[in-house]
Amino acid sequence: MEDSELIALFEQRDESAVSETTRQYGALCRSMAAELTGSPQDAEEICNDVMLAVWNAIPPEKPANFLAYLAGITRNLAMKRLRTRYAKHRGSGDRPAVLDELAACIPSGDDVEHELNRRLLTAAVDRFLSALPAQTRAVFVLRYTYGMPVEEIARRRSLGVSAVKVSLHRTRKKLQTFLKEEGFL
Amino acid sequence: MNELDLLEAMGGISAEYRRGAFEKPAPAHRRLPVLLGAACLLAAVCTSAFLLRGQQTVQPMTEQSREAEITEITRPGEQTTEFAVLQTETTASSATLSDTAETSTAASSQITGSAGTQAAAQEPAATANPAAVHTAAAVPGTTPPAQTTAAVPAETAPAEPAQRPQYPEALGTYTLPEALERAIAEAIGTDEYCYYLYQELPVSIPWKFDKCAIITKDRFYCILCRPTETSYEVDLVTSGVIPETTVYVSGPKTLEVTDSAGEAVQISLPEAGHWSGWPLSGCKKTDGVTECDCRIVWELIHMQERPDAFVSSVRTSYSESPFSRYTCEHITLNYTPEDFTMSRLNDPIDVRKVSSVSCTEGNVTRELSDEEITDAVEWLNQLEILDAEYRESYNIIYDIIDGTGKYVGIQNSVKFYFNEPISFGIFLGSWGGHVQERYIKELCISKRNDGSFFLQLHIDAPNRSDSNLRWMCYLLHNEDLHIYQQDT
Repeated sequence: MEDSELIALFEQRDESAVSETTRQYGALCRSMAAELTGSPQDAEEICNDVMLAVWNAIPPEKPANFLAYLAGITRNLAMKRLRTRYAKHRGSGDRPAVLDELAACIPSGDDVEHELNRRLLTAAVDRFLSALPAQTRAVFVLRYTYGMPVEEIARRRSLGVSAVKVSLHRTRKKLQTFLKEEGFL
Repeated sequence: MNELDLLEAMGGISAEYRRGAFEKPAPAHRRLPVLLGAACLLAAVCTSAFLLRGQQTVQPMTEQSREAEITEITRPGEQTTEFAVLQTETTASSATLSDTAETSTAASSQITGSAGTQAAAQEPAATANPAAVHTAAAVPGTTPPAQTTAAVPAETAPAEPAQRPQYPEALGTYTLPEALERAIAEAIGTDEYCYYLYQELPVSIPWKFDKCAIITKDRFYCILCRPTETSYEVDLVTSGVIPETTVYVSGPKTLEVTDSAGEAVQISLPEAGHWSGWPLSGCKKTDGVTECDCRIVWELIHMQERPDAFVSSVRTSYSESPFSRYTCEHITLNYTPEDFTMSRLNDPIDVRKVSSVSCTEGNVTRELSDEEITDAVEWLNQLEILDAEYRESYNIIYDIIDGTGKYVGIQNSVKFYFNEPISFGIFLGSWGGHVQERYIKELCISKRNDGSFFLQLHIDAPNRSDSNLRWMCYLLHNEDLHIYQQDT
């Protein structure tokens, strides 16, 4: 079923929209949520919540890119869950893989003005991404904005898995250098 | 500043980049000319530079431009992929270049689905155990799913039907078993069987449940419904006698019923919170791949008045699973990885950290040999994308969760006291799914020393308190069904 047809089902308040969307994107949603939260069970609930959120949002919303829309909601809910858990378990070693991977770019520390720095960091990351080739940027965004598994990124971007891994590795290194130059590290 | 902040920052990036990530890249055959053009252009530039060398000074490339050039033109992995994709699209055959072959395989795997599905497709067709197969004709007008799924290979299995019926809303006090049996009597043999049931039972939209499970003081009923375009289809009707009036439903519970041949049949109650899956027969099903060890279908008409109540047993086994080869109806892996973080769905199970695997068939449980364990783990590890669900279905993840589950936060608890035996049933659900077992701290009914009965349902769902978890509990007391539902 095309995305436009799924959206039409939501607009018609046809509950099969939920089951169809789950059938079509449920596995991907769970994978991304699990990558971000590190918990398959959290992921299952997050994706249930995503469906509820989409059901409540469409209409009136009509996303231009349905998958991106789902991924965005998934990310937001996963981050909410992750923030809660991270606050409780910081330092416990109970962390998802994406955090471990990004840890190499930035050292741990709580002594900086958090909120301001977060905003500056977002702007800096945006600048960093703007300098990347489109393909490299897309791979990085899919992985670290949406938590998409490497294999799925490879499939979506018509790349080999190893190419994706190499690209991510290189981009992380570049990001580390960039953040140093920008004074974040 | 920490890596979580960085992850957060990745969420605040430009919408253009976020959107762009989901836009499809140009097909390889369109990009190849561009790359070839770029290569030609580069060659021309280099040649010109070479020819002009000595005539003029060539400015050295800046670090930035060199890096850009390397990134844009000499991406070895991505160029390899271009060819790999072309190879896949044009010949769909084996490639000679090793990198290409690897990529091609990966792409093919992704396109056709999980490796587990592929493996299943390559395996011999499902084989039924002839000794255990009877014609399942328990409920007129219904199609037992075991036969349907057994006849269809995994790769050609039709798309999963919608699993979430649209239930009518009905809340209040009902009388059982009259209401239930009346509904059944009126609807049996029709496609509206479940519809009637759901009219009688309290499930409100959009809190959806795959099936209803009712436990009375000495009997359980289980009805699994599947929606069709116009109504509902009964997949399975199961009932049986609960041997004790005191039932603890906090883990697997085995019930014993008698089949039409007079033989005892063991039926396992699912773990609490799993009642939205396949019903009490111990049959499991996961997306796209059927794995069904045993299915028992009972006709549900006045069991006590129909001693000849029909029962049929259908047993199917699937050769891709080593467990069916060992005729396990249930397996449990004792898996205790030291660094298990639940973070990597696709991490293979480390066979060295599987201390034991028990296999249960009927009431016989045996430990698998080391060789069998190796087979079993190898098979599980082949499931790749589906492995999480498979692992759940085999209780692996849940076993681990049970061992490490932590319950903190808001607790919802309800207690009921009665002075005489009561029966109970429970619906637990959330949007689109069941309540996970980790949230159920206690669900039991017990007889106390003073003769009164005590039912306690204790749900502790810290993550769901602000979301869409609900519980309902209904109690059968003096033939009346009392409904209790969590406030929203």
